[in-house]
Amino acid sequence: MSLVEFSSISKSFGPDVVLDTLDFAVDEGEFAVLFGLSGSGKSLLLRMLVGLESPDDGVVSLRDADAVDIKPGDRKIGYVPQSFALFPDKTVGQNIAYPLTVVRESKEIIDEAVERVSGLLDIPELVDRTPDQLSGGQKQRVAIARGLVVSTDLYVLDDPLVGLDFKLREKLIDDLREAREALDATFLYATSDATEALALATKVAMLAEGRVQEYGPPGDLYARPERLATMATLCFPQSNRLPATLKGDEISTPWGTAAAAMNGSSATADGFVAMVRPEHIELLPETGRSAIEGSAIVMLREDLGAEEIVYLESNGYQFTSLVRADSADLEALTLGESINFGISAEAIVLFAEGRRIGQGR
Amino acid sequence: MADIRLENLHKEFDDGEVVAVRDLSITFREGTTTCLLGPSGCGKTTLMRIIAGLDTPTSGRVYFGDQDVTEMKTRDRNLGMVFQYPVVYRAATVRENIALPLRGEDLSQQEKDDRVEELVSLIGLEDSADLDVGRLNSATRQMVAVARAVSRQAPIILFDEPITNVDPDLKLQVKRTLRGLFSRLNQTIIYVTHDQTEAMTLADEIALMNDGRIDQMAPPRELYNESASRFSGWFLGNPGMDFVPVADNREVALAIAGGPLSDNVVTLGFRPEHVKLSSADATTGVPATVRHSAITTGGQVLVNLRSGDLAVKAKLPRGSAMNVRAGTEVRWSVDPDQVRMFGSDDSVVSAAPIET
Repeated sequence: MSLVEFSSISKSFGPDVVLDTLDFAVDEGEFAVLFGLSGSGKSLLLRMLVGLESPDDGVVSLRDADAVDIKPGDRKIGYVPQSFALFPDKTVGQNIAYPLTVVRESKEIIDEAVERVSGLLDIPELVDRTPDQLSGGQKQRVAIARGLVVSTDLYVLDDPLVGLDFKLREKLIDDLREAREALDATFLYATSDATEALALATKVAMLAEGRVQEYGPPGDLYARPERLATMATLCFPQSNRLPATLKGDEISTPWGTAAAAMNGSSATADGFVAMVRPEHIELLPETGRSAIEGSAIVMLREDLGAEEIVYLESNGYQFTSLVRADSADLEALTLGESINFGISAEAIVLFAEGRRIGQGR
Repeated sequence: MADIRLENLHKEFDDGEVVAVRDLSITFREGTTTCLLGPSGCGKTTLMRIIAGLDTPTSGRVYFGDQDVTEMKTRDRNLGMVFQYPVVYRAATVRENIALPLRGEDLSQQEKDDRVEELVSLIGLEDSADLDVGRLNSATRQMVAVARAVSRQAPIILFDEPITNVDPDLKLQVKRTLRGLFSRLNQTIIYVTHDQTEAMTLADEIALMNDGRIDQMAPPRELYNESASRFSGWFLGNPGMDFVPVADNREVALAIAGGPLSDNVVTLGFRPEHVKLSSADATTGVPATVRHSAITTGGQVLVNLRSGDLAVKAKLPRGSAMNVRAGTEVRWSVDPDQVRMFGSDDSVVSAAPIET
């Protein structure tokens, strides 16, 4: 059985249906990441699990019991809420210890637990300070430590790295992954940052339109997304939507056509969308090599250091190409001037009504 | 037009308890866009406030060209400024907003009108030029603020994190407009940001700040490829440089340096994208165990490796056939040309050039 199971969960706020008969189960030992855009209902789902919200319909199960029957205080979950506040008049150590002091743990247990988690989050030297002496990043570490101080098998973290500058995120991503291993527990973690989701998760749940669209190891979801939302958003930079139509088994674009390999014979072309990842928009390919070739104006080059995102415009459509900074292809690029691009047929993935129906071949 | 010269600039707060700017001397060249880049608390905002005249230095001088402006009030310094939140009049139209700073200028009405139209077209607002600014989105409002700041053609324009509060979906539009604008303007521009991508994308030169000092000043690619310090190597890049402390890892250090190391080399640094992996039975390379691997930017694979106590990250090109499942034994190597050597003060001791 799963440690956590959401069964047919629905929740609306007035006319807004946020969760719609959602099913989702997390097994023990996973670093499960709920990934979705802001407003997709990630926080809401986590808050149902810890007992701060209840569903209109459906059942939340925790350790094989209906969570409705367990008081929020008895659910034995370490929780890092999205917006946290530290007690300004307490020391960092007292802040971290708070979840244990409210349940009147012994001083011995508390001291040991605070020492353990402050070490885990690399803040042992801060325990005697007060929050006003901390930087934003340090405060966030304290909030995470406070969530992890409870000794249990399940921790819920609601977007704990949001708003931090990215050198700090880089470090905390490694720390959080190692913290889960050290605690040998299950993490359920929400984020709207694709790179963070891919870096942390043993399994990612793609949350969109009120449901978990698909759930699996991040490498699998990246290599073969079954849903449009996954292909479009679970990546950095985001995937490109190609202006394309499907006639029979031919994909037609303003820059040429490609043959399609469809999943099933009954595939419908309603709500047809063709997608391609930025790393598959190749610059300056030898002509005649790719199914789809054209020329585009270079609108902007965003330099990430190891890579560049090249923003292109062609026939009134905008798309991005991702190129390693050591690529010779970048030498011929000039802002405002045109460049040849190519897309191989296999890189084009086809969706209808949000589901994968085939790909180019 | 003028360059900006800072001489032994020093700024302390709280009776010297906090030093925001440390005895800093540097010249920002005329007609150049320089990004002041650094982590929060590095002193970049204080430095800009001193240049603007909004803060006075504890000691040191500020020159615009040959003129010492250290004691001069902000309004006499002839600057344009753009802040995090756009300074615009919401009840006025885009045109009126841009025309307002020109009111006291010694220009004919025709010249003023021409300049407003030129700016409207430069920031791509032809279609909304007669709309009230209050009806525009955050990105467009900020662009109007930019146009207001540059309309008088003051020789120096200062930007303080102008994109930070623009809606995420619209940031790109602002970056693109600024990029186009900076390449056309001849003014000396100083642009404060904590975002390395923004700096790398917009700047002619980046002045990287750390702890009240300029750590390194160079054009973006040079800054990334030829880190002058451990800090620079760590701060730039996502993730930043890998480091090998020589004393604790002498064999590894000798292997990747490709030859003997002089005594003053304390740390080796190299970029994760330059780490190559081969199988465990290869005859060269440093043995390591894969701790973790994940898909990252553009489908590349970020691999966390461990060789004894040494942690190293490798960023492999997409489609790499290497098995990088956790627990796999591999070997890693770096081309010695791509290794930088840092001394006891963490600055570079021998400039091994990095090919891009």
